[in-house]
Amino acid sequence: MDTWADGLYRFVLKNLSDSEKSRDIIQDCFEKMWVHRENIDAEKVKAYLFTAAHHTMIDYIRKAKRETSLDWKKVAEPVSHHGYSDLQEVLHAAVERLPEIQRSVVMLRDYEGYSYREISEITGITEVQVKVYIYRARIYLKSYIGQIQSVV
Amino acid sequence: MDEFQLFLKENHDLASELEMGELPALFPNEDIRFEAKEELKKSVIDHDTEFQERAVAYYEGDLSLNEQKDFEASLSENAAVATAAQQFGKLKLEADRTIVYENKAQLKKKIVLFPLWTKVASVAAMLLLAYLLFQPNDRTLPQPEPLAGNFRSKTPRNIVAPKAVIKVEEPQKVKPTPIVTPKQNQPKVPAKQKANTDEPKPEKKANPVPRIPVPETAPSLLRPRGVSFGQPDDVELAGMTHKEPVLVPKEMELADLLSVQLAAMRNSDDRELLSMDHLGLSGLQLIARMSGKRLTARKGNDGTVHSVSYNSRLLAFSIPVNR
Repeated sequence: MDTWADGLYRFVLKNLSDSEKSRDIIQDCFEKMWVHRENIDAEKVKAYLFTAAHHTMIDYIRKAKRETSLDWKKVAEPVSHHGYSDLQEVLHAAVERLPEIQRSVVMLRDYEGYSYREISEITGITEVQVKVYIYRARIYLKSYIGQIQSVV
Repeated sequence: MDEFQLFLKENHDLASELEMGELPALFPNEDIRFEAKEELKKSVIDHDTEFQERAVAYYEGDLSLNEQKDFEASLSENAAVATAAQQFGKLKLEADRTIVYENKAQLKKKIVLFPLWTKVASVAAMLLLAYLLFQPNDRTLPQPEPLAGNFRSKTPRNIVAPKAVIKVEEPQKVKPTPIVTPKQNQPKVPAKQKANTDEPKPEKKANPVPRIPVPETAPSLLRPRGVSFGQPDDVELAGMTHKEPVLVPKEMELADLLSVQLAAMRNSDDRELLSMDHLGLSGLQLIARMSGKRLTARKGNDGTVHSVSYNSRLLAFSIPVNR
């Protein structure tokens, strides 16, 4: 619990940009894990938590999109891109602009170092799709850096 | 073919015309060469999309060993392309380690273990409770045999020693020896009672019988069995019936009344502790005790219970009995 909670929280928080909702999702995930603890392999606890977090997060995003006429991404994105102090800030600002599935796979890849296969199991999409999404996300991030490089 | 050559030898003029019909042949000039052949070769780095994909694959570790070498070789030839490729290597997101989940303690489930001793303790508590409920109550009747002797010494709180003439209806149930006490100076109770019945009872008028409060704990040995409150509170002490008007408390706690009933049932000869009547009364007594003395039984002038009332701050009701 102490091992995975922080990483899971970072993953959800960076996807949602909502600390309150992120905490709720973390609690839901750990509760699900507790309920199904008999059926979870000890070596796959982390993957189970991230899978649960991903699906809960996607459900929340879709629900939020349905409930509001505003563009959810525009609400979540930062107000200004000026004044970045380092490349990571620029990157995270760019990541927020990615489609949620691309954002998730890139974070799982970079934050947790998951392989394509593991990301495929977590997100429920094929390995080829994971690879394509990561490639597209990298190229977008590269172009975003190229655009904003003069600002940094 | 031989005939055709023989024909040409015989006709020389035709042979010269045949030689004029042959097609002229062109031969390439081997000295002419294209000098910019290298410019025609295209590398992956020359195609934007392909270069980006290759660069991403390189930093994702998706290239084979040979592909990696080729890519590195192509980058080494072009510094600008190498710089562009290096930017793909900087696209890795780094987790912000300052972001931590603060309330980890809330995520931990407290496992409550129920060891065996708790089950044993609960069973023991139930047995103890059952024993306390069904054991003979201190407030119950004295046993029939020492009843007469205890009549004065251990009378309930509002019983005055009976000096009234007592008629014996069922002497066969009275055990003579224990009933007769020296203090009462009535060695033979049946005889005296019989004498009293024969006389016109002048003594009764001369010495009016005091109003004898009915003992609340009077047994009802001869009453029919059943859960009922409608029995008159005639005094039936070991077969002795007192017909005088009695002082019956109008209200008494239901638990006390039930104690009397249960005690009478336990002390009876044909007692059946597990009979439905006994269990029903016991359950009712438990409810009455749990109610915190809020359940009271109201009696009429004839001593029968007319209603059972419940009084609390929030709720009060009365249930008629035996109507």
